[in-house]
Amino acid sequence: MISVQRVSHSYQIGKKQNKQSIPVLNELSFEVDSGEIIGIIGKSGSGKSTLLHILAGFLQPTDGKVIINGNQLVGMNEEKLAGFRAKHIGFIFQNFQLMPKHTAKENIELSLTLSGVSKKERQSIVKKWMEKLEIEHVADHYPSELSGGQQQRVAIARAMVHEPPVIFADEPTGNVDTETEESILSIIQQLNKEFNLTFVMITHDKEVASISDRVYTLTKGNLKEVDKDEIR
Amino acid sequence: MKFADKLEFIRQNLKQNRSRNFMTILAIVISTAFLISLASVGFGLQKSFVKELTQGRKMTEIQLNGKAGDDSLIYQKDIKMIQKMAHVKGVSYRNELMQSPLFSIGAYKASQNAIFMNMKQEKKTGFKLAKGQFPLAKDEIVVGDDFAKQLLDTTFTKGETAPTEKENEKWQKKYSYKENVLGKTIKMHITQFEGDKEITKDFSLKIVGIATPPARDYMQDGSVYASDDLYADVMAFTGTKNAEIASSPEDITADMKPTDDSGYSMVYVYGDSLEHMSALSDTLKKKDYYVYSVADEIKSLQTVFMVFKIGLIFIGVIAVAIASIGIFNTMTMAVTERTREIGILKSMGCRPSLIRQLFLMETCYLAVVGLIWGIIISYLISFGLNQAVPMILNAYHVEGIPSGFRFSDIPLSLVLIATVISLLVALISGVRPARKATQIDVISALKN
Repeated sequence: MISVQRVSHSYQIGKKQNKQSIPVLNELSFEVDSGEIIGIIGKSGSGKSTLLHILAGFLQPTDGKVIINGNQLVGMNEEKLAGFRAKHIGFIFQNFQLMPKHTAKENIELSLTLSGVSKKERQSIVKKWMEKLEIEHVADHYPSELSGGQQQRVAIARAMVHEPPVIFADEPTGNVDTETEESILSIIQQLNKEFNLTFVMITHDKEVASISDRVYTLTKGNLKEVDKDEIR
Repeated sequence: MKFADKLEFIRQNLKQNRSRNFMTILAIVISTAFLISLASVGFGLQKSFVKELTQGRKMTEIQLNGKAGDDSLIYQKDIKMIQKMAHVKGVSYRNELMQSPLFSIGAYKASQNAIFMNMKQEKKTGFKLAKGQFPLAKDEIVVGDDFAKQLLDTTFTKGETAPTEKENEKWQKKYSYKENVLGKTIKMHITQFEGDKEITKDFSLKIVGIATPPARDYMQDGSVYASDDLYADVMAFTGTKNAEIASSPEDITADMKPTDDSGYSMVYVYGDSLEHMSALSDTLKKKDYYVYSVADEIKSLQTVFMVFKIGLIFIGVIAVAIASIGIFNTMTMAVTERTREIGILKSMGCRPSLIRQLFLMETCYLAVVGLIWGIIISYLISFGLNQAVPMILNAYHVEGIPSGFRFSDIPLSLVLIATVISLLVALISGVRPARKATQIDVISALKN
């Protein structure tokens, strides 16, 4: 499903004369099978967000290969990357990233709208996912009118409506309380089982990593698979 | 993304900053209305001038007022040659008498122009009758629509002419011939001198047709149109070309005597279509004929007005260009404000080309709304201008403005020109913000 091969990345900082290369990721390699939940944990600045951005095609690595569902992302142009994301990837963000001027329903509908799905079909798909995530009662609410938990459920529904095989989650419970965190993690587990979805989650929260099938730690750009019981 | 969804998406975006979008649209409305209204003056004046020029005249007619030479006349050999020229539909040739014969029905008399022409050619080349038919015999004639009005009852006028134009109008109302002249027989009195003695020959002529009235209200046609067979009889009596009056037979020189081909002073060449008139006119000019055609006159008028209109449109385009700065600012602000939203869209797989398209469509949406209102307001301004200018001119006692003269006209072509210019300028000003939107980095946008 996902194959990361010797991926390295460095950021260039400073002006021309004093240009400096700061290495962030150092020859990372790992494989993710279909239906797996992978947790990548690390402290702030460890490079976990950079890794996720590379996996999603938001960032081109300095070196290495990223292959998802047989598609080599490195070197792919923006148009093709966008098409790839629309078809194969769903994204869950720490701060939800909902469109502020769109209602919950419209936010969920958005990826289907972009894909050219008819309005009638969109409505039925959105209804199904709102019911599944128990947010149908806030369908016409704007993000500012929703709690953190409700916003994250809307974001999960939005990531799921086009039924991608892979979901990338960037600190999915980072902005919610403990009770909501549990329900969000339970939803992720449920979706993983029901749809055989592949999840790659990055987090600094060891509790979140506990629902993962496999856990990696990222320290100073180096990835290491660890026993999930070991990190508790 | 479906087209209807794109429109809905744009509509939702536009709702976000109503006052800024309203001001942008207002700038487009004003600039478009300015462009159209300004150019409409050029279009209106051109239309009115051309209308004035062509009213009652044939666009496919070329008037030959003679030929470079000793007597400036055009002869039968010329006419035959012209008739054989390419794109010539027909040639009509006329002679006007050098005296205005007296025409009479009983006590009603009037001195009018007598024009002699080839009736078959005239019929072919478009001489129109309002009533009756073309003469078949040489003693049959056609009269102008105002001929009867010119015949005044001499028992009242005593053969005098009215002292003033106004008085003449009164006389015409009171003493003119009121009956229908069609079918009536009139007398044409042709004069010549025999020694000191003035002699007159009367020709009895039957009116078989009435010519169509002149196109302009202020023009009158009281002429008598007779066949050229009768012209030969008239010349036989006077002994001179064009019935020129000589003080005595001895004064008639060889040049004044009629011949088999006495030449024509008025020749009209008719082309087969408007597009060939310019070439035909040039050919005749090269052959030394004195050429005058409405098409030529219009051509030079069109050139002047074309330059005038281009100038006006250019000034209007400057206004549109100024409005485009507003569009550029609005769209640049929109891109900046929506950086995060663009990032979200990109993260969800929205293609950069679709983002560019959405922003360009938004630009066009603003331009189209502004354009529609601009066109509507232009029509209102044009209507107001056509109503107000004559009133203003009247208030300043400016005379000579023909009725129905339009100062402003908005043809479909002007609307299309304004539409193309406005949309093009709007699109150009929207390209850079749209490109900026596509270049937004997802990671930075989501951190926003």
